[in-house]
Amino acid sequence: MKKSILKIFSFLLLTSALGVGCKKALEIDPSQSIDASTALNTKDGVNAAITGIYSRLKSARQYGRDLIAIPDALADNGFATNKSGRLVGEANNNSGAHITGTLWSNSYAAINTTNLILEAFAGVPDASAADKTSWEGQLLFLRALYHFDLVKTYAYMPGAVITSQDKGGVPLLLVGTKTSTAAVLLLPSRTPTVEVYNQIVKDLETANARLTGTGDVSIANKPAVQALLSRVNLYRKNYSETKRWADSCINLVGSRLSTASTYVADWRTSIHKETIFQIRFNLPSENIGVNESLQTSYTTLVGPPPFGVATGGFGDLVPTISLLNALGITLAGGNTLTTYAVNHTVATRSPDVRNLLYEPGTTGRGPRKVENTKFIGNNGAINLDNVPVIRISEVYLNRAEAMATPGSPVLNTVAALADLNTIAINRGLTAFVGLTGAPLYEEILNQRRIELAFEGHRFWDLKRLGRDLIKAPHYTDVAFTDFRILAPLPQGEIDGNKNLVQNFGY
Amino acid sequence: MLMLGVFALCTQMLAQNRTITGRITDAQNAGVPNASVTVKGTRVGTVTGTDGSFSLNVPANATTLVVSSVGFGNQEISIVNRTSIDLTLSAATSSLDEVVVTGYQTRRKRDEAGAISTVRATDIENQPSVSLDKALQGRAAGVLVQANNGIPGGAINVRIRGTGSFLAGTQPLYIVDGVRINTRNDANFTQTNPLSFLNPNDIESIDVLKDASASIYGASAANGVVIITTKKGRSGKTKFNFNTYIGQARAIQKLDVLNSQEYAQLRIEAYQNANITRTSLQNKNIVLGELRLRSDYTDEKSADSAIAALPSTDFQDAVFRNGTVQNYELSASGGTDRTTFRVSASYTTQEAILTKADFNRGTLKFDLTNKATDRLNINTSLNLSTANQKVPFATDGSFLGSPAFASSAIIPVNIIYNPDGTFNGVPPNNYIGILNQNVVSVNEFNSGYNRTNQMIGNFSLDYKLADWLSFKSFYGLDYRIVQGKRFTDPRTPDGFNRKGLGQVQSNWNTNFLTYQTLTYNQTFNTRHRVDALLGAEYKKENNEAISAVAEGFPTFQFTTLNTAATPISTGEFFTGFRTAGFFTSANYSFDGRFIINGILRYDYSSRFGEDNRWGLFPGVKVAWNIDREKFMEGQGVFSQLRLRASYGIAGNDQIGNFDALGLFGGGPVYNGNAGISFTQLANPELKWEEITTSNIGVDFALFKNRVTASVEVYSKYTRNALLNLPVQLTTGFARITSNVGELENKGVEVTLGGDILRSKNADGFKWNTNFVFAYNKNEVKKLYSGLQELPGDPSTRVGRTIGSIFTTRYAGVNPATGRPMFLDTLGNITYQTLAKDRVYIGDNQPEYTGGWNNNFTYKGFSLEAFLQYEYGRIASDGQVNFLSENLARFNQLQYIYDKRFTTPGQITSVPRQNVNGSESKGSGAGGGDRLLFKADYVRLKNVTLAYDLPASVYSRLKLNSARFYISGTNLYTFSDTYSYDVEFFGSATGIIPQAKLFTAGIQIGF
Repeated sequence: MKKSILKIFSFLLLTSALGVGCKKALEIDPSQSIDASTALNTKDGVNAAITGIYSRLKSARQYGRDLIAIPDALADNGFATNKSGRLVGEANNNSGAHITGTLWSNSYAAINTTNLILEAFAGVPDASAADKTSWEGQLLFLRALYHFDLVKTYAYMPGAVITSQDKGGVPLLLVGTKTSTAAVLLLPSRTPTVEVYNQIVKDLETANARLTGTGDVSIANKPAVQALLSRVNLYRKNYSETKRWADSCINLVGSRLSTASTYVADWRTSIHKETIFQIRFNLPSENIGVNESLQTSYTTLVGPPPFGVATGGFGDLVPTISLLNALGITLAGGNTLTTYAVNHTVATRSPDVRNLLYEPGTTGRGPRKVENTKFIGNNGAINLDNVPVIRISEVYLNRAEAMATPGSPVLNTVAALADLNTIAINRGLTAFVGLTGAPLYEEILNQRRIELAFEGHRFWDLKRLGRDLIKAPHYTDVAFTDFRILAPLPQGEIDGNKNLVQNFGY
Repeated sequence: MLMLGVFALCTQMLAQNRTITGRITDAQNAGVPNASVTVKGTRVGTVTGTDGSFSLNVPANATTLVVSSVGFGNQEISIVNRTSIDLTLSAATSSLDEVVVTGYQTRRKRDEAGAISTVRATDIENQPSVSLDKALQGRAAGVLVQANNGIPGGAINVRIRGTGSFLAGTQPLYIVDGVRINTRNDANFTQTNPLSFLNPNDIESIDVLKDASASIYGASAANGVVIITTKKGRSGKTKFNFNTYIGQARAIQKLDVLNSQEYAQLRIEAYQNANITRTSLQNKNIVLGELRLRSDYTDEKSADSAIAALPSTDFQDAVFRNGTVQNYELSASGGTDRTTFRVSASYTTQEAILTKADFNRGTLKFDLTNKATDRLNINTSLNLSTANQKVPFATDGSFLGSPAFASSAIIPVNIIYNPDGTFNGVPPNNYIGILNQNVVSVNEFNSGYNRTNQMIGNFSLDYKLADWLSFKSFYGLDYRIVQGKRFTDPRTPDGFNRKGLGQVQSNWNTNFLTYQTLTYNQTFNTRHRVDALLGAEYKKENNEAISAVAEGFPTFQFTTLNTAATPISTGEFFTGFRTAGFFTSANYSFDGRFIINGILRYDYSSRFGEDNRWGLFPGVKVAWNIDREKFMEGQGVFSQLRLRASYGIAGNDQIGNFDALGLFGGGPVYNGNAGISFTQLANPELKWEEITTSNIGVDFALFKNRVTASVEVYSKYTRNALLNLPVQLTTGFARITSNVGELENKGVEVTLGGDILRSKNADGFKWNTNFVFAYNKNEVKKLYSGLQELPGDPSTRVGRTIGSIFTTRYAGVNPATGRPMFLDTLGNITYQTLAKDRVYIGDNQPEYTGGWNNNFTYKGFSLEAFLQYEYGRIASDGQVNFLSENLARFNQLQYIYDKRFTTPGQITSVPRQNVNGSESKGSGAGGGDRLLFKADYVRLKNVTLAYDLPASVYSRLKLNSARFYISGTNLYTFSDTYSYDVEFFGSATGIIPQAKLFTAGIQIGF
């Protein structure tokens, strides 16, 4: 009897022990996350991961603010009002006040995922060949864009290099990191700048071959690839390629230019008509908010016209005197430091319709300034705007510059003047007549400054041409030879990696 | 195999030829269940039934029975010429005869070789704390209990023998009646104490496993194990116990801050010192302008009289209050010889001294034991609780609207009410100064609650396979739902522009646990006593939550989210983990002199990396009861003397549930699509941190137990401690977590007790004392890659304590200029400090901790006085720091005003005021170690005076007992600090400080 009871209970103990050993009872999977080893095995998984890569572009450290506002602060377009204290260091070109290291971490995180998908997508069973072609095109475009934003920030641009201070490009990453072991072993060095540009162009050209149609401007599309190719080639001073891709892009999208009569209204729509590629900010949860959105950075005004007297954002970065002059805006009392320091009142405006986007703000945060209203809550809520990355007008200006640059293999001042006048006429100006040589070239750059002001171009345009930053009368000028032209690499990266060299001066 | 080994030990019973029956009762004549009754010097024994009765066949030559039970002494009784025994157990007199809970088992302390601290019900009864962890404070050696703040039911930091981890959790494992409790704080809007589900008066005993004893709990035991045993029913006539106390909570102290005239004077000086070219009148006009007054005075006299006319408001007086404390309990206990029960209900409220943080809780506890057959016992225990807490503006931090932060710092010229009785300074207007919110109105308008409903229950079957072998099948459930809401009123500055903000959360946690054990207990040839345990355990925990946020309410009366115009976000969350383990323990005692105990646990956790899911945790303990040796006979000094040693390994599994997995997480959204991002690299090697504990202990009692003492010396060495290793950002990640660090805690614990005054007369004057002392030294032994200091974190460096403070030394004020001075690397005076000037100042871990308890009894009176102390911690009180600035942005402490530098030649420690904060080419006046202080204290934690009615009186009233008591908590503190209260953990900025409590109560048994 006793023995049989013993048997029963030892059996019970053993079965409960076996129950414990049952695999299912011991394992648990997370539900907000999925296992990295299987995440990219399905079509939905790849689509979601690509969405994740686009989503990183929205960061305030990327196109959410920094890549749009900081270049204008670093260059000669933006004056920092110190209404929230933001962008003051950047406008002063303080050492280290530049595009931040988050651009580095966020971009490489995006590039890593891009590489992982590029390595995995071919094997996804439930995706069609068309899906895969589209994925590859989008991924290569994204990888090129992220690498491009990195290399233009941290390295000199080809043809505008202070050789004694040049430490090369940025690490070019084309292979994904999947495990902790691989992460510890990855100690990349800076790839030569030219090689980084070559790879960007190579990725974009492949993307161009993969993508078809004009498509949604909020994701990678063929015109966007071509427009970016024209910009990248302009930056690396390959003018024939600049022209070739600009031609192709303009042919592909047809006439998208705003006219003088629609110009202001087009800036008050959710998706600007001229947009070829934009970062879309749509949902309330995507709103960057009152501290760092582009609207709050640029203006105190609450919403699209009619502008009220209520104060919305901070209006941290406003046009400098030299930009006001270029825009054709004259303040009451003249564009002097004295009148600039007090409440602004606009006395006169030139016929250039672009200056109609610049309005005096409110006094709620300090003296009233003329502010840029390109970002004014066009998506129906304060601080919620789509961010154009490429507009067609830029492509015209790319082409004009490529054809007007001295020594260009595609030098053609007549065609360049025609492109310049396409922009000028559509902006309410009278056509330029008989411009050639340096005056033509300088006018193209001037129109580019006005056209793309506060869209994140000015600093790169000056940098690629090796020009000094003329900050007077607000700030001290910064020579192109100054180390502050380049951003510092995140110091932790240097500390942990002997292969990586910090930029000169940091 | 092990199991077979256990069975192999089974031998056939010897013939027996006499039966003894009887009943074991406690002092109140209630049956004592589960008491062990054995024939002295043999393996023959049984345990009492639920009513305390037993029946035992004894050998013909047996002369004495030994009876023991949890909480009672070992008592022997002669059975010569007797067949029936009735024995009344008295509470344990010798600490070694008490029974301790060792994890899945109980054992007489004399037979246990581990370092286990025990706190009994009587030690913590009727303390006005809502959770049991606070009750441990200062009573168990080596158990450090620090309150985050004084929110009733707020978070508590408990550490057993120091901090054993850099990144993983440092709190012990809590087990209540066999159920491992989930101790995570899931409340979003206030702090909760996960242990406040249990009425502390329902606790019978708390046993703290501090050494190798904890190895039986394997991978979860590295921070020690706290085992709580609750009160159970006893057979006999049903007995009721009614207990109530009411009282008041008061602020320990308020901060002594300035009136408006003193404030204005500081601010004027701050302007004056920043710019010597301005005239005194100009500065006065500037300050008057800041205070929104006329600022164009042309003569000093008028400006002075404007300043003299400023009103002063004491905001601390306005927001602090006396809170009411109430507690009501009723319990009933009784049963038959087969079934016993205990049911207890309680209701407790504690109003906070700073609102809104009031706590109230109802509990219902039910315990039932049934002896289904002579061999089968069924036990069930159920604790239901609902705790409701009001939600403060913030639990800590420098929030403008937080009364705890702002009340001492608002510029005192602000007034609370307008002459017509309405609030002053409410939107669209605001207060003068940076702290521009009327905290009284904010506090009145905002609302919110946190409700924790919890059920902890267990069910077990005990089957006695033989007198020496029993099987237990145990099932436990810990179910908790935390629901919270916070409403930011549209009439407050934070809610004004968004027209009100509503946030809700719901979080539920289901924690299921089962274990099966075989327990073996036998004595051979009277000298060899063996007990053994073999078991398997499984635990499953799932945690889910939903939340929502919306803004734009029609009016302030609407607070439910469905009335809001704009949903901001919704959230859902799931996490969980699984653990399993096989364990065994074998204890052998030879002749009551030598004891050896081996423990082995093989543990699994789903939290660990694929390559390291299972781990082995051994432990061994030995003891030598020297007092049982022949050579000790006849000496009169030592009534007890024993040596113990143990060595064991346990694991720390308090890491994230999915830390080891490579993950793509949801969250990113773009272009109307939901995306995923690569959030975590796979780390298949991730595993538990391993803590090796070595312990040597000696227990002794002198002069017939007049003096008792326990001394423990230990080392706790952590290996495989988790650290974040930075990786190149180009990988897409910033760091990976790796098991690479090492650290050590070493210490000494002394528990000294004694009867200072004994009395032969039961009514005589008695004085009993118990002193607890613990010393712990923590040292970082190894970081990664040969680093001596964590990058960017000088508080963690090899050879120092975790939480070391590195900063520059403050050298006082330059008597000529009033500028703050510091010391540089060479010990010379410097004004502008550099990183290299930093030196080791101390650390934020207390070195010496403990308590001292005294019990005085005379006739029906008893007086308990309990002191608690901490020594060796360096702290910085963020609240005090804000009030000690030198630019008068906020109101300031009186001592800053009194001691500030004003005149050349003055020797003082407080620099001159300067609106720039720091002097030109100088470091900030609050920098260096100027505002650090030694957070040493001795606190009169509790004094209780009680009177028990004599039996002659209460029996006439048809009662079983009656007790009246008054009690005070946090009565007096010896410390050197300007803080609200020295007993805090963390930065103390904006916390609701602890309170002083006074209570009076009645306890009646009938």
